[in-house]
Amino acid sequence: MKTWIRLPGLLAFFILVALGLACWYLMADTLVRSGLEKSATRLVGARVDIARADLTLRPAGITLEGIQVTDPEQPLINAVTMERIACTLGAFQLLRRRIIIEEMALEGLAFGTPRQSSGALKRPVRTTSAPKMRLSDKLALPALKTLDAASILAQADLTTVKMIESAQNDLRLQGERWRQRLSELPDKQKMEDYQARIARLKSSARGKAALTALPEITALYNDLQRDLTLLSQSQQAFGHDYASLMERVQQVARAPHEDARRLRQKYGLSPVGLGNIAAILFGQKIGRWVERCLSWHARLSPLFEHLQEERRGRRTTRPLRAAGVDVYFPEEPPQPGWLIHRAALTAKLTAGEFAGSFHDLTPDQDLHGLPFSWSFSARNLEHLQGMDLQGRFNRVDPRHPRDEVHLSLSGLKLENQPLGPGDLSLVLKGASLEVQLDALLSGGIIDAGLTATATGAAFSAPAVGEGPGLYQALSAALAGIERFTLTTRITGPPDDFSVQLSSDLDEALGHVVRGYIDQQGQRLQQELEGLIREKAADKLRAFETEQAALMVIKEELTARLNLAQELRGDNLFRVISKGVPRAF
Amino acid sequence: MIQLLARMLKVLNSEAKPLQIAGAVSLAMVAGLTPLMSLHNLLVFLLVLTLRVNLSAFLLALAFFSALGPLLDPIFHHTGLALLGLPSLAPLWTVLSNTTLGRIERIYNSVSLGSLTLALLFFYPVLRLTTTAVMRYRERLLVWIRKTRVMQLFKMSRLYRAYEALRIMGDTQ
Repeated sequence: MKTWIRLPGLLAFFILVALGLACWYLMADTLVRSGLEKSATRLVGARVDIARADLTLRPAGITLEGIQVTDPEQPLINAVTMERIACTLGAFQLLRRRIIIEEMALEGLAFGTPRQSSGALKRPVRTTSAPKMRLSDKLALPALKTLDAASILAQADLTTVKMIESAQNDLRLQGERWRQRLSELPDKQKMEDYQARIARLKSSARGKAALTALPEITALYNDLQRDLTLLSQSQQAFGHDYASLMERVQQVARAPHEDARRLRQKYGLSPVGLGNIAAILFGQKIGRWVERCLSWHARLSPLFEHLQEERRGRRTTRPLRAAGVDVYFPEEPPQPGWLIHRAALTAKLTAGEFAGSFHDLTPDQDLHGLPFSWSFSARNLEHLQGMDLQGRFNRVDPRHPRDEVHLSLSGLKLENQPLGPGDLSLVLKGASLEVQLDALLSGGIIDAGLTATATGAAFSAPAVGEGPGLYQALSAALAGIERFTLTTRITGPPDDFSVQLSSDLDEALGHVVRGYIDQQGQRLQQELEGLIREKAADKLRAFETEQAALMVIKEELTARLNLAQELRGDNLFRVISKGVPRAF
Repeated sequence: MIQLLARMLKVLNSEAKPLQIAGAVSLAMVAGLTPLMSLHNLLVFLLVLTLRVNLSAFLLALAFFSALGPLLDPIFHHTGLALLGLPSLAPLWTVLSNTTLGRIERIYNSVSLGSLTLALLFFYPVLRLTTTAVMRYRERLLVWIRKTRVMQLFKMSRLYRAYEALRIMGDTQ
């Protein structure tokens, strides 16, 4: 047995353990700082720097100093900085791998401070739950610039040209058909034959001879009557065809106007999109703000909810800094993995006061039984008279998460805020805002309402002659507005939400917009009609030639009919009308 | 590098008993395959230092198994998850998860439990296999190797001189 035991080894073991503990104690601050930086960086998706960490054993606690959290969307700006965070930890719970913080103090809070170096990550962290929103789709601005008439015509498919070509073709075909038919109808020669027969009968059938010539007269009458009927029927048929063709001619005459009207509707300004002035002026700003809020909500969600999975019939979660999965087993009493009972925040400000606290921050709300809640307030700040922000992220029942935020701002001073699309060149020079926001995210659907009332508003318009006419018209109308309200409703899933804005500005500026659109539409339509007529001029001329050719047929047919009628009214045929039956 | 190789050769050819080398390798396997900063590894280090196992063999094998461990994590994960999901063992895991030792040991983690279970399961087979391998090496391979021309050339190399220096130093101690 003795040969298997190395007693000095026992001493060496204790020395090594002691050395290990000493090393850990000496390096603990650095290790903790580094570990926290890495975890927070992964959570935020941009660099999180901690200047100093101080771990104390009695009482167990940690103090962090100089914390800078980079804004992931603006790597040269800190989303938030804190001078100091101090907290005490439950030592026994720490042994059980639980971080329970009863009290935490966050001091020297500041937002939006510049960074000395970029906080962007070389390898961007993939945030699985970050929403992808398409704001431009949700708040699509109407096209405020119309194309000129020539450009529109260049890409337009004109009905006028097609209609002229079709009508011209029909005219030509009808012309050919009627010319053919005309050649088959009794012509001038035949009428002259009739005239000659009448003259011969008149000279030969005098007195008693008239009775003997009656059959021949009757035969001539019948021949003439048949041709007259033929000519009359043909004229009727021609009249029908001609009327139909004239209808086509009228359609052709109206076609340039109809084309111009259609193109105006297609390419001209639409009063539908422009009716919502609030969306044009404030839509993008509000949409971006909603996107930012939802993006931070998604980034920070691992703090108040575990991404849990069901594996082999048991609830599991993926640990942040270790391999594998942690499987849940019932505990007595149930304890969350980590928990901050209460944290008090104070900010270092040049003017005014800012304070707040949050409670019950843990990813295991279902075990803790209380939702994460917070309350902040600010008074008499440089650009803000008062702010109250309350909210709670409730995951006590993980199947029915319910997050709500209530914000009220009073006396928010806005200065030199550009409004609307860039080429609008409209700036809200100054205004004082009262804002009320109530937002709820429940069952994967956002339902938020925001009401803002601006007083003492002053807009600066672009110089006359700059930018599209509508912008100038809008700017001129806005110059007289000092007070307005804005109501926003945001609804839908976070990755596909919709923003609806309405404002009394819509009513005030609606007539300006409508007048402008109407004026522009009429101008465009006139230009288009002129250009279409110009473009179709050659075809129209050819069309008119075909039309004239048809008129010749009409005149010829009328002339033949008149001649036939004239012959039928000759005195020779009175014999028939005086007692001899006509039909024999 | 030469020193390390020389050390390995010295371990294999030293007077240490095959079982002492095999014990070191088996303990290194437990420490290397499981998360290093675990409570059970404190016990492993206590055993390594207090039992007469070969320390050099332990350190070499620890380096090898520590490198191998992350590659086998998927196997450990599935094994651990299967064990943690067994309804018949649920009361055991519940009790262990409620103890401080169980929580420090992270018995509820699939990789921790899977790697420890497999390491303990393979402890004895590895002990037996390594013992046999060292014995075979010394009986057959070493004698043959010493006679080869390559070995004759090798004996003139810097590596062999380093090995000799280590061996002589070890013998005089």
